[in-house]
Amino acid sequence: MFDAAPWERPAGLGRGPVRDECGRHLIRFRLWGEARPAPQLAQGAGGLFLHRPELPRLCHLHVGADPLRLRPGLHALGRLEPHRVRRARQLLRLWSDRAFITAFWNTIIYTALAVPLTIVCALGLAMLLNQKLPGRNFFRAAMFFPYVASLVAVAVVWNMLFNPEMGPINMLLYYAGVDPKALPRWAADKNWAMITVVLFGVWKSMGYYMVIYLAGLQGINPDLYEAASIDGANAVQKFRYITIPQLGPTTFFVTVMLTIQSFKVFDQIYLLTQGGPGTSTLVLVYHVYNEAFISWDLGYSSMVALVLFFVVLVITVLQFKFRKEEV
Amino acid sequence: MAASATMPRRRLRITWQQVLVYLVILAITAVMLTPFVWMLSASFKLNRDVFSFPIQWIPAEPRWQNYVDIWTKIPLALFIGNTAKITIIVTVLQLLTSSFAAYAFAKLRFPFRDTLFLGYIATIAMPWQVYMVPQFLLMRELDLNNTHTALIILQAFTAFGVFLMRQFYQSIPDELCEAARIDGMNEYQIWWKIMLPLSKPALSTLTIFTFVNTWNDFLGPMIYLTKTELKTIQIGLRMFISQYSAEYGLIMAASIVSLVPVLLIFLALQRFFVEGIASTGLKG
Repeated sequence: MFDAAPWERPAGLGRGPVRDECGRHLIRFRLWGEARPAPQLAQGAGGLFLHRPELPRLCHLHVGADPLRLRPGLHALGRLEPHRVRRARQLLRLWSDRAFITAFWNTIIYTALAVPLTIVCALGLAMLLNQKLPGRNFFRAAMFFPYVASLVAVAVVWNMLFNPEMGPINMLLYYAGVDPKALPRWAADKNWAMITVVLFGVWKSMGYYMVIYLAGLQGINPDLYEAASIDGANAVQKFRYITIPQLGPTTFFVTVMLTIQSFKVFDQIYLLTQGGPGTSTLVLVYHVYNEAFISWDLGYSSMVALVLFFVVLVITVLQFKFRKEEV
Repeated sequence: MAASATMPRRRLRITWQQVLVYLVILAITAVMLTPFVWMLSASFKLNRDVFSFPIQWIPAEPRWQNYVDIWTKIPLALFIGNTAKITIIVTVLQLLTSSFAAYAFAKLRFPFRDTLFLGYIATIAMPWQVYMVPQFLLMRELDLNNTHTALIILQAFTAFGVFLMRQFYQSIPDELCEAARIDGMNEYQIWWKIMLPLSKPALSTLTIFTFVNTWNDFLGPMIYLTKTELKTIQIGLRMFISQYSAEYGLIMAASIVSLVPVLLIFLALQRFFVEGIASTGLKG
């Protein structure tokens, strides 16, 4: 039935351009020296059947899902460009994509603002609520609740509270004597939008880090404070020379977690400002989302996600390095 | 502001410092809870009264009609049903898969066990946002786009759950398993009859975390579910907000409804939250 067994090479293959029985150009397949038609590079195993004249249609056969297509960052989705060319082009595009550069810087600004602010607030709350007070558990729960409250609901309230025209916050500022023209326009203002988003992030997540700090505080040996009291240390000194150093590992852990959290921030920005006004709150994951699910350029969006990947990777590697030094 | 442990005797007297601290705490708590109180108060108001100033915290004529109207203006019941379905299935599956895998990682011996575990745990570090696009492609390839199945299988297995359960299992003495093996139980029986009942605290922690995370999940459903009849409460609420952006009272009422299950779970099982964060957070 067959002219040649499938594993035998068709005659003439190996020197110069060859054509198969269907009249198509054949090129050598890199790994096995097997021939396949040029225009069907991405079509998987179709080329194996080329030299069988009885089966011309099988040349077009798409055998299963091509695993390469599942790597959109590195491979053209059904396009014929070689990987390397495509990859280089995507990288160059990253370099010249102004939205990407803005998103990258905005992410860094968000991180630089949110991480220290959250740490200070969380530590302060933990210090306050580590004392024996009536109703302490209620207060702890109240601080923690924003963390579990669903984002959509609290974001819409937040937007109403911070509404520049009629929101209660600006009303309060107005009645407190702030000039109506100087009232911040919060999420509607280019310069204030990032601050609004950061404030929201701190409000929402500081209860979580407070709980971590509370665990850290409870792990400090009380004898240290007692010894310090005997030596005549005041509250500030105790805080500076006992609490802060003793909480070192906790702070380190919180910093790492918060940094990664800040780099992947998306939901709250989507719900509060939608990256705007303009591109003032456009962040990395928002750019990934836009490229992938608005522009449907999945390949390029994966390239942007790859940047996020490397950022997180660097943070994680650094974390391990520092930890080793500590031990 | 020093920690209480310093001077236990002082606590018997009320000092002006303590009063000051107390006032500060009260003020912060008020700020933290204001959005929720405002939300509740606005949900009982007419649209034109929502932004009236000074704020009327308790509306003179509470408008219960808002809570009736939201069920007909948007398919809120459908959204809640979808979310409840996904949340319950995901939570049950996660409890099963996590405790099962954790049992193997904690109590069984097999080649490369610790290497495998480390590799699995390392995936916690990588945020989902990094690989959500390729994962979406994979799901689309499997024709699971626009199905609840996609969301369920994505969340049914988590490294975090395995980590949490393994931490707990390691505190259970191996002798217990040994004794059970001598008595003729196989590994599945040991897992089901001994380990699971003993690990109720860890299971509770995992239940709450999974429940809250799945209930509140926003980006996942937004990417995968585009048909209205499949939407979860979060993206349904979001859709309602963008459609009726001026219906403040209704938006607030719907928001309150979406918060109630989380609030109930939180109030009932708050203790496990705190324990869970403290135990996984610091050792992670």
